[in-house]
Amino acid sequence: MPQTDMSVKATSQKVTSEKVTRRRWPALLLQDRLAFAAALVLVAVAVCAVLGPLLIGDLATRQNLRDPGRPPFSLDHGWAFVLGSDSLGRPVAARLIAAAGTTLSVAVPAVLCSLAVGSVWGMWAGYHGGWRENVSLRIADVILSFPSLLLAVVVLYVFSPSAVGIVLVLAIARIPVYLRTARAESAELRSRLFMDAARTFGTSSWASIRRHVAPTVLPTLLTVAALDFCFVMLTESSLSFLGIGIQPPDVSWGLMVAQGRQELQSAWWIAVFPGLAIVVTTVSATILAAWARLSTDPGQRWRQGLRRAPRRSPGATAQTAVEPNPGSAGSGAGRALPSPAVSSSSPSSSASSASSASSSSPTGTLVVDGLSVDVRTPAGPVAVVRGVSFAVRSGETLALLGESGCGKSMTAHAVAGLLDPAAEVGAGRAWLDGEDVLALGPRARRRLAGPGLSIVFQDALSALNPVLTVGTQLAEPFRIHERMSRRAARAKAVELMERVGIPEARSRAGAYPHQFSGGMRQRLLIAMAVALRPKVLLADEPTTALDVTVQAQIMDLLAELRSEQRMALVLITHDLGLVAEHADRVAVMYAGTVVETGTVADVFSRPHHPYTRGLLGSVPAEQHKGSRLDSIPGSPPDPRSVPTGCAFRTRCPLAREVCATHRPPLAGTGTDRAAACHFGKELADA
Amino acid sequence: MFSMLRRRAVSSVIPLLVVVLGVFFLARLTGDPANLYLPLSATPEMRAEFAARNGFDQPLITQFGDYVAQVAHLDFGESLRTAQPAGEAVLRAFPATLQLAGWTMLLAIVGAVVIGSLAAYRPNSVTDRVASFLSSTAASVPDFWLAIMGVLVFAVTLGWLPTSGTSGAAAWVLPVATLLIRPFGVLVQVVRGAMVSALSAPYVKVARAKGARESRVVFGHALRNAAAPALTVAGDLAVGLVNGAVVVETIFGWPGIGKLMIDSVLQRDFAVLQAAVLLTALVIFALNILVDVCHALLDPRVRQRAAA
Amino acid sequence: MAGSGVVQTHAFVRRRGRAAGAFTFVVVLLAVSGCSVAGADPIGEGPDTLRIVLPEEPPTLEPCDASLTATGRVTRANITEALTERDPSTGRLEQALATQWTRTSPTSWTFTLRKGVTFHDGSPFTAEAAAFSIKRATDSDIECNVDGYIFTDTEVTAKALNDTTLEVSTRKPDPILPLRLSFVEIVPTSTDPGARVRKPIGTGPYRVDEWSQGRFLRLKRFSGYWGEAPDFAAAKYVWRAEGSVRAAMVTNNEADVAIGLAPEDGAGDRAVEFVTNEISYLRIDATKAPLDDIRIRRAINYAIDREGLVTAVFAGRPSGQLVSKGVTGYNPRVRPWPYDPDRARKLVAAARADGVPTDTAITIIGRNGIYPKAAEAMEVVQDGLLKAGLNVRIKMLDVNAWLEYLLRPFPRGTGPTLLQAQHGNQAGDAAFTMGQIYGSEGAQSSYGTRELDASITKAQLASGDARQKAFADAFAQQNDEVVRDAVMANMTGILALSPNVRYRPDSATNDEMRLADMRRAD
Repeated sequence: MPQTDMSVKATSQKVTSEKVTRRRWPALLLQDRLAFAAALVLVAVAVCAVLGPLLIGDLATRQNLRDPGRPPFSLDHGWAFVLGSDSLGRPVAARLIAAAGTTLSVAVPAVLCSLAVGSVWGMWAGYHGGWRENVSLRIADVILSFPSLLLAVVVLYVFSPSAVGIVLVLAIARIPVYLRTARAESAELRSRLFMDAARTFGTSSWASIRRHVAPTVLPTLLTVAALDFCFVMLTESSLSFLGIGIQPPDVSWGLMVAQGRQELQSAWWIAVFPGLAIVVTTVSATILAAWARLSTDPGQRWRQGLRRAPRRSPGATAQTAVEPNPGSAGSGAGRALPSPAVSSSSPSSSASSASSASSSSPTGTLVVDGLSVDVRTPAGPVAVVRGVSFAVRSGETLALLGESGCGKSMTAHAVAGLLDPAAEVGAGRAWLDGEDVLALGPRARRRLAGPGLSIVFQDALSALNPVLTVGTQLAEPFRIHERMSRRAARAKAVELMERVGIPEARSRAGAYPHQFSGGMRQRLLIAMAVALRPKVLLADEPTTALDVTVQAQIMDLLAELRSEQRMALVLITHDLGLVAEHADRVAVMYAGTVVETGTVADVFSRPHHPYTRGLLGSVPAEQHKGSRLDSIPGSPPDPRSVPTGCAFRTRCPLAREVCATHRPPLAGTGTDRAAACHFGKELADA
Repeated sequence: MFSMLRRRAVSSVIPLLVVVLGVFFLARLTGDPANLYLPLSATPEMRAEFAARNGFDQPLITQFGDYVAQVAHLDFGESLRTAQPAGEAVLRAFPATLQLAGWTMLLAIVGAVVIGSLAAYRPNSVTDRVASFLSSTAASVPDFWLAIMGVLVFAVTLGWLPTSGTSGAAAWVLPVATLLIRPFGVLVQVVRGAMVSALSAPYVKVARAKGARESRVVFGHALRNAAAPALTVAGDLAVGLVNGAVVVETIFGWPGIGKLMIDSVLQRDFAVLQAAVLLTALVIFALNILVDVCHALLDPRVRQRAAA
Repeated sequence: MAGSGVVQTHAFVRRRGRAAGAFTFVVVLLAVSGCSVAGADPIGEGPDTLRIVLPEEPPTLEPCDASLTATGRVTRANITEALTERDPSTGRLEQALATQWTRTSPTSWTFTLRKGVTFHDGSPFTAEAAAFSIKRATDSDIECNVDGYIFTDTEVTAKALNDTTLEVSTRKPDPILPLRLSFVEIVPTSTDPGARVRKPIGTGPYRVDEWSQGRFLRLKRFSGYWGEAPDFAAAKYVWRAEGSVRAAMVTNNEADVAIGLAPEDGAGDRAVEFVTNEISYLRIDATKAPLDDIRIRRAINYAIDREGLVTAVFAGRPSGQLVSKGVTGYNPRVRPWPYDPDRARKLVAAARADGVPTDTAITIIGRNGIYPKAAEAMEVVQDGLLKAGLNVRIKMLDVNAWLEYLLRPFPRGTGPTLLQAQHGNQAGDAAFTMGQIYGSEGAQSSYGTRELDASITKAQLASGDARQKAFADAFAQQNDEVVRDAVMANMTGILALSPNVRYRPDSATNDEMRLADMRRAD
């Protein structure tokens, strides 16, 4: 088993390095076997449509009235009869191929026409709103409430049945569907800010539609269009049945189904195979559309072709860069703790560090020990958090400081048990009052969420449920954990709102999140988090979206609540000033690991890690407030290709050979301080 | 809310008129019904008399004026085929269709919400893939094929259900099942898509961070947010059922409006066709308004926009 | 302050309750209304009820529209009766409500009526009712179908001489007046003379019990019937458009009789085949090149594989003329054309050599649903004609659009056409075929010759054996010298019969389905 692991790991590494920068869509397509199969089907159909007439000649119309209805799955009469023959003795297989062209030449233009007209119209209507929107919607109503069959009979009767007429009728009948969908989505977008901004800057409406609306709306429309293929083919089928569809001797799948329908009892294959052709083509189109939607949506792309990682391999991956290392000797069995615990001065056995953590509750209310988090990607698992350890006591504020992408939020989410399905904890423990929360089952976990461990999110607007009143949302913790009646929970919610400084709390409990200002929303979010007086509060960039004055108010509120409720507060931030002002201790993170810990005063005055030093270096100590972590040359590594050895070595002014071969452990460099640098001691002594 | 309802009702009047106008003139483009209603050997005098009696000899615009005046008095004219008031025929057929559509939509929505949420709960899991595959298959099966197979399998071979007709609860199973399959397939996909994005929203994490049960997370928090797109599509599907259940009504002998409408198109029974389209259009407009009201009920932001 | 909080909480609770309430309400409403639909059509018909499934609901039960197939097969001889009736197997006219009739002058006939007959409403059947019915059918504002179909160019007056004697006179001599009168259903004088009736009253063995439109029609046995009482106490008609569903209903014991089936509908061993009076044919538009050349018309006849059609497409027997055996004027010597593709090719080649534009596109005007697999049948024809060297397209239409091509005046600018058509002579006399289809001025005629017109006129005035011979000669003349048509087949009807019922269909079954002939099997 370990061997397979290693080989898988090696390949995935190789694949990763090859495809890190650019991933072309054919490669992506190959990774999703279902989508690939769907694409193959569609290509085959298209080939039949184009080359069909050449392939089969007149086979599709050659009748044999003396021996009709041959059953399928026999090669006695040649390949053309493999799917049997129809009631006039014509080979079904050959007719299927001949029909592909006609079917597509009706379905594709019809769907494209209605998609093009409907979506452009709908986006335009939704973008402008007002009377344009109203008139467009009423036109859509008219078309929808009109029997499309009447339209078909009229058009085809007046202009005589023809493919063009059928396309026209089907396209007109389907326009409202796209119109309404596009309108709804772009009206939704309209209400957002950036559109207003675009409008203020005088961008023309078509330009903004193209730039802002279309990319968001099109994926949905494409999905609708894929399903519509089927609708169009089936409608064409019913038109054929009424005699106003495709005219023989031309043949379409719809016509075949309509004619063969009569013979389902005596010769099922005549109707079943063309029906299957419709189903398979539509399903393929749907699958491909879903796939295309995933790959055009950046927010969803990570879901693509996910492979469940072997249970342990992520921990191992984190170590691939490390040379054989005594600490990892036990990684073959059980959960490995790849990096040592805080304050341990040298690599020690993981078991002992874990047991020491569990027994030493005074060390902290929350002790995180060797936490690793991996994200599954098509190329295999990628370690984004690699052996993070820290501890925080009640009444204390610990800042997790780092640039965006360094894994600090992921760490918090992992501890809170809120990782996305694609991410999972590879190794590590998180002791909350002597209980490993990472090892808990979902039920026990739920019991702790709120009274034990709570979290405040960054963007309060999206973190509050837009369709529930804030009162309901604030009352929820009480309803869940204390089983209060609705009324009692509601009263508690109002109390909470008052506590966090929402004016007129009683009457505003019935309001919805969008009716509050940004600062008030953040207060609400904090109120919700501290409702049950949690032992540990994880605050994930709680003030990023706010202006400076409000920021200060929120931080003061957090500080008040912390001392009032004796919480341990973990403040996740990239803001040095915030850390300097509000935190007691700090853990600096880089590329998924903690590189330095200590009290804020110590660390900020005398950093023991080149990274911390770089962060602080350019900024005078008194002016930390509000400054960004952008003063070091280069940029943090992509989690998929973290340098071997010390992750910081490529940007480090002190880097030497040993940095490339050995990963430095987090080692004590003074009282209550540690740094993960081969030269930490030297820096401390300097 | 009520002002919105009133506005919508008022703004529906003109489209309704357009529908009536469109049906009236389009129907008359499909040829003279005299051939169908007179014996094959009818003389020119008989034809002239037929036209005069039904008002077809008047200029179209006069005919339309007369028709609108009649409708204003709730007189929808007389069916050429059955010589009975067209309004009666339509009102008789409509409840059957509405019930069929009502049950179908109810089951489709409930089923799609459950299956779609299950699929979205773990995107790309086996459940999700199976659900997506089956639902897109369901959405693309030809319905008349399904209807006849249903009759052959469940009525003829197994003998569990009656082949057709409206007698007894068992007779509802096949028509509803046939009608259900496509809306269900489409809705599962829509619900799944909306739920995937709703379930990855931060407020879902917040709910979990509060210790909410997964059922509460999915149905209490995510579903209502995912409901809007599903509702729009469900509205369109319901509209399709109200005026397009032709196949199912034909095969199962269901005396509904779809069958009546197609018969009257093919039989050039203008009065019945016009009455049927007018009534379905009314119902469809009402349905659209209902969908909008549901949107407002589900989402306070829509409510606020509507009130503004 | 606390109060408002409580109010809000209540509002909140109420909202939840309302949503659940609305959902329950919808379900209950649907369930209740569902029951009402189901309740209108009770199951559990007793064994005394004969259950019949038709392809379509009768548009009306108006007696004077009885020549409409969908109406006539329910009303004729079941609800209402006529003075005379034709035996489809022998072609002879039999007694019905009249027991005797004699021609008193070239233009007038006297009928002796049956005594002791009462209508369903209890009123007695009299000569006055008969005279009223004839007048109502032939001379009223109802636009009776019978009037146009049977009495096209005949003016009739009827007079009651006494209670049981009726005198009917025509303006022109009419040798087949008693046959025509077999289509006039007799109704009591209380019937509305100016409007169609929904629930007709007649003298037949069954009376209308309940017609729930769209769902079913139930007839009950009439206890006061003058003749032998039928086996079944009631008959219930339902209608399903789909042939396979009709067949399945008999297999599934939901119906006793299903009509209008096709071979592929799967009635299995319940299927009963019978010869109908329907003849399928292609009408050739012989006024336009290249169809104006008789060689091309003959070639078309040779190019159609009639045996193939009846094997693969529909049930029937190849036929050479437009009437079936049993109809006055049927000519047994007119045989179906043989399938001879070589000869067809040679004929076309010969015509081409003479400068006939054989490349001109000929359009087949088809009609969907005219018989089972109508489009496939036209594909067979097209295939044969293409092989013979003609240029042929198909255009399938719906009934009304097709009718424009069937009836004069024909649409302009259409080029040469072949029209898919079917003719059923329900009346049993070639007069109802020849004039309108082959006369050069006939309503459905695309082409005729003066010689043929003369033969037809002569035959129409003849009676007895002379009439038979004259019409037979006219058919032969058409087939040999005019070749206006490519007659395809005498169609076979199929119905499904449950084992509980004994019934022998005949060629008139599609137009007149006598419930009294359906007997219990045990």
